[in-house]
This record gives sequence, C-alpha cells and structure tokens, in this order.
Amino acid sequence: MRFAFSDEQELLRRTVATFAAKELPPARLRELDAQGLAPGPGLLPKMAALGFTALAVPADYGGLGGSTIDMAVMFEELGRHSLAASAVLAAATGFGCEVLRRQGSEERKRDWFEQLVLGSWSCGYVAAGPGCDPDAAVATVRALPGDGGYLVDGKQLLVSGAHDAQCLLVAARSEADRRGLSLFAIDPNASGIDWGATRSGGLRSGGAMQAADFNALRLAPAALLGTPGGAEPIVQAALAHARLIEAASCIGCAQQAVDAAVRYAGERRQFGQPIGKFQAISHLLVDLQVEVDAARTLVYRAAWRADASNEAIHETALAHLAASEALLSTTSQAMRVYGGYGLTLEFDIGRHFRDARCFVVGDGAARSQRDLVARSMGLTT
Amino acid sequence: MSSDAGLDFGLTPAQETLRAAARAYIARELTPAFLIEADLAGRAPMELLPGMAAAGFIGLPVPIEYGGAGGGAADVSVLLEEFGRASLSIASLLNRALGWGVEAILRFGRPDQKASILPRVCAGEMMFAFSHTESDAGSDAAAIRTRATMDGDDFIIDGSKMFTSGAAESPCLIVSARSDPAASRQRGISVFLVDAKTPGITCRRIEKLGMRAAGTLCEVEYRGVRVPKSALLGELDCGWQVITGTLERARLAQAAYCVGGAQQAIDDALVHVRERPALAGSQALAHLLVGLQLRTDAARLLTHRAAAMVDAGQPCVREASIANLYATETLVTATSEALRVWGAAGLAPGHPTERALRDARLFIIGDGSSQIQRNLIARQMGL
Repeated sequence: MRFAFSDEQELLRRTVATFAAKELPPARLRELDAQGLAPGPGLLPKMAALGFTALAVPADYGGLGGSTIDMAVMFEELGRHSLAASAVLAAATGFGCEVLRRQGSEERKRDWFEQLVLGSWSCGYVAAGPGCDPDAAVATVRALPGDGGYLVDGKQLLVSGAHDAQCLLVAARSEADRRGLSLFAIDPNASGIDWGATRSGGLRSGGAMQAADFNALRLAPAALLGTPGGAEPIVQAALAHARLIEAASCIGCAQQAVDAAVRYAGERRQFGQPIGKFQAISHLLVDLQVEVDAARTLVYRAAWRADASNEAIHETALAHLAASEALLSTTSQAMRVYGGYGLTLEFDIGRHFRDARCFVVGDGAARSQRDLVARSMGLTT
Repeated sequence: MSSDAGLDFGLTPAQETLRAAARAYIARELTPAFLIEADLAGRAPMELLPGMAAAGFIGLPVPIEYGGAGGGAADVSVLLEEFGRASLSIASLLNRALGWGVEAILRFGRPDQKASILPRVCAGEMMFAFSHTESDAGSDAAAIRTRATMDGDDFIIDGSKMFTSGAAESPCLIVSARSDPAASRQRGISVFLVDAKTPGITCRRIEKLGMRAAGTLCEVEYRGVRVPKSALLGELDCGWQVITGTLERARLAQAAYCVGGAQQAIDDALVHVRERPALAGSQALAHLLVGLQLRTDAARLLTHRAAAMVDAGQPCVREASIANLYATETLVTATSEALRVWGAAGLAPGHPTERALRDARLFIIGDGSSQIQRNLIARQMGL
C-alpha cells in the first residue's frame, strides 16, 4: 500500500495547471459559456506542444509511454479547470488511441500515432446499436461483406463530436445472424453517411451530437481493424479506458466545485459570521469532500489495476459510477451554498452543475455501469 | 514518463500471508455456532486471547524488541478487516489488546512501562480498557471531572466514568483524570495506567443492543483509588496529548473492521441472491448490492490510504477521520440494506447480518460520532 504520486506525476499535474491558467482562465470559460460556447478542438495542438497527446502513445511510436495512472493524473487536473477541454483531449487520447494501441496494424500505428503526438488527430466512436456497450444482439449498424470489401448500413441516433474528428471508429454487426462485431475506421466526411441535425450537448461545443445514417457505405478491406467479428473485447477494453479518464476528469471537476464552495462559505457572511461556521453548511461540504475522496480512491485503484493487469473493466465501472455520481451530487449540493448566486453565470458552479449531467447518462451511463458490475459479481440482471 | 506510479493499492506478500493466517484461524475458531452463542449470552470469549497471541495476531504492532512483529498500521488494518468479517465484537476485542493502548504506550510510555507491559501484550495476557467518557463528558471530551490528587508518591483517583468498554475483563484500565484542578478544559488532564484489581474500583455492567461479545460496557466508580506516580502515562497534566495523539490509530482500527463487516454482509447476501431463483434475476437487488460494494471498496481504499500515511509518518487527521466516517456509515448502510434481501429470515436471532446490524450502531457513536468526525474534517478543510 502506498498512496503517493511520483515526482514525474506531480510535475505533470503542475504542467497541466500552468497550461490551464494560461489557456483556460475562469473568466474566459464563463465568457464563452455565456455565448453558448466552450473550449474546442483548437486547443489540441497547444496540448500536443506540452506532450499531453503523446502521453498515452507508446515510446516506440514517438510517445511518452505513460501509464494509466499518469493519464488519470493529467485528466484529473484538466477536469479541475474545464470538462470541455478534457473532452477535447479525450477524443484524441481516449477510445481511439486505446483501440489503436491494442489492435492497430503497424502501418496504422505509425501513421495515426505520429499525427496524435502532433495534435492533429482525434477520433469519434459510433456504437453498433443502442447504448454504448458492444452487444451484437442489439446492433442496428451492420457491415456485411460485399463489393470487394464491406457495405455498412444502419442507423445510430447519437454520435458525439463526429465532425471534430479526423477518424470515426464504427462498430458494426458482421454476421447475418446477429453474432460478432467488427470495428472499422472511416472518414467522417465519406459519402454514404447521412448526418442528422446537430443537437447541442451539455458540454456546449464538446457535446454536439448528431444522428448517423449509413446507406450502403462502401469500405475497402483495409478499413477493418483487427479480426472480423472479434471486436467486442477490444471495444470493451477501449471503452473502459475512455471511461477511466472521463472519471478522472469528473473527480477533478468535483474537487474544484467543493474547493470553490468552501472558499465561498468562508467569505459569505450571514447572521454575523461566515456561513461556513454553521454546521448545516460545513457538514454538507464535508460530506461532499468525503464523497470526492471516495470516488478518487476508486479512480486511482482502477488506473493502478489497468496498469498492473492490462484490464480493469470491473474496477473502471465502479470508478466511473462513483465519480460521475460524485460530480452530480457535489455540483448539485454545492450550488445550495451559493444561494441565488449559484443560478447566475457569474460563478462556475452553474456550468459545472449542467455539465455534470452528461456523465451519468452518456457513455457509461450509471445504470448500465451498475449492470456491468452486477454481472462481474455473479448477478444476472 | 516513468511508469513507476508511486501509487500501490496491493497487499505486500507479508500482508497476504497474514490475511491467510487470519482466515485459517477464523475458520477454525470462530464457527457460526460459537459466534451465535457468544452474542446471545453477551459473553466476551476471553479464552481466545492466548490463541490469537500464539498465532502472532496480538503482537503484530508491537516492536520486535518486546516480542512483537513490528507491523504497521496497514498490517493491522488487514488483520482487523478479516476479523471484522467474522465478528465485529471479536475484532474489537482483539483491537482492545493490540490497538489504542499499545499505541499510547509506544508513543508516551517510559522504557520501564514498555518493558513490563508490551511482552504481556504479545503473550495475550493484557487488554486495555479506555476509561475516559463520563456522564457529562461525551462528545465534549475535555469536560471530564474525575480527579487525580497527588498524595506523597501516589495519586488518588476519584470520580465516575460512563461507558468504559471492557472494564470488567481488562487487566489494565487507562484512566483520564483532572490532575490540575485550576487548569481548564484540555489543560490539567493526566492519563494513568491503572491495575484493574486496585481497591476502590467498582464496575456496573450496562446491557447493550450490539457488540455483545466484545466485553462489558461499564459504568466505573473510582473511590479513593491509590496508584503510584509511576502509573502516569506521559507527562503530568499533558494527558490530552495522549488522548488525541493516538486517535488516528483508534479511528483507523474501527474503520478496518467496519469494512470487513460490510464486505461480509454483501458476500452473504450475494450467495443468497444467487441461490434463490426468485431473487436471482432482480435488477433492483443487483443494483442495491452494486451500490453497497462500491461504498465498501471505497471505504477500504480510504482506510488503506490513511493507514499508509500513518506508516509513512505523514499527518493524516483529515484522512483518518474521513476513513472512519465513511467506513462506519458504510457498515450501517450495508448491514441495513443487505438485510433486505434475506426477507424474514434475516430477522432471526443468530443471523450474521442481523448481528452486524446491531453491532454497527456503536461505530457511528463511539470514538467520535459521525457528527464529531464531520466537525474535525471541517476544521481541516478550513471551515
């Protein structure tokens, strides 16, 4: 048992904090938010210049070969400042990067990792069916052999940030009998995809969602990643990786919400004393801090497990569940401390409160994470 | 970027061995029938102490020079979690032998006190009862009125203590008393190691809802109890330091066996749900148990975090209080919620979760109630 970060990790944390102080000052984030905007993909080259996009890339491909714990440290600190900025970095170093690391061909790794390190590559994910978990039985997107390659048909209702990405990884049922999923890399601008109207998501620009309708999209054999019909474990592992870094962002933001509310409770006076002197306020804030601490230990335990055994699906589901719920309750409860000011855009808590909703319903929705953990505990649901 | 993370959530090989030894001992000695009998009878199974000592459990935190194993707070947490799984009462009994008292003597005792007491701890002949709380000094722990008056080379202790756990069984009472009547509150308190057989001490046993195999809960009268000056633990009038300086360990110990109790309640419920066709497919019960497992995992990790900080010599008042608050409340929640899946069967006397549910109530009150823990954490947060 050892609960201390390495010197390199502390340095990484400070580097992210310095970057955020320059690029993501609270006043600018509030100003953007008031206009319905948030930090977007334009940040990626700046992050790349500091090595953030290289962290998850293996050293053999020009990256820093960082551990999952390193990634969690980086995303926790980034989450303290901006969940939207975290989402930008996650689109580059999350799901797609993990698929590539586990399943990419040598040629693809050389190509994509190089662009990723430079900050000019990010990746969207299109699940094969409703929900995010790879399940061929409910897949609505299918890719059957044809025309010297594959033909993709079907509809996915919600795809996040597809047009900010250079690449889309599409999961699709590969057999007529609803067995087997395959994974394909496609260009988001390829003809054969009808994109629906953009719906604004909770994270402003980072959360834009669209429906994708695939109409006989023709793919060359080289678009396939890995083996046909064998993508489920890869997708499962890559989703776990993406959820882990998302969970790390959540605890960063939750801690920020608690810290800011503690500061406010020390400054705001009512009945002749700072409101933080009242147990009704101080015990509320203590309970939030305890919940963040609990979620934080689960997040780092999952990261540690992922590094130790290359797979941490159960631990990651618990971590994501705890972190997303902790963010939801800290932002919701901390808002009470501000009284009416919490409803204005002059403080950050309103933005955090709104953003927090994304993580209990989006990828890795809280209810489906509970199902996932229940199965690993030997329970059927 | 270095892959050497710094974080390590695993047990050491020695801790794995310790846990296996504890499991083997528990499977052999703490049978369900034995635990039911001790609980129903309200009997502390003191006969277990020599065996627990021989197995090396009691001497775990005692330095090697006094016959112990020289283990740290993390090791003790691993041990107490295992005992907490089987019986919160017996985990607490074990902790009364190896926990707060040992820590207080190690930190504040003179060499002669260490040399005379610690080998007896390792032999399983010693147990400590902390006699501090009074009828008007509960959460307001500095409000004690028991007096210690100097008389030649002795002190005379007079007063009444409420809720001294284990007073009737423990060879050694650790008694706090006001040695400087002019000083107020935290100042002027001294702590004494008192032989329980000293004349003038009488115990009145108080019946209780839970923790019935953990020993007696007593109101203790001290009437003209004469102890030598050498009974003083720590400096004269500096007892408050002894009391507060070792609280982290006490809170961690409690957290560790609460984690064990919660995990056992979940594990038992899981077996039951999987075996009953009517329950096996219930998403509502599955999600309930997932929620409890999440809390219990977090409670364990928070306990390990604070224990690792104690062992690294880092201040951890905040972390120890967080671990205690979270783990004790988790035990209350886990036993109460897990009991739902058992239906009426869970209400029968002798059901392990029913027993743990009764036991759990102590921990959100004793050694700092949840509200006091929140006060402490709030202060650490600058509130």
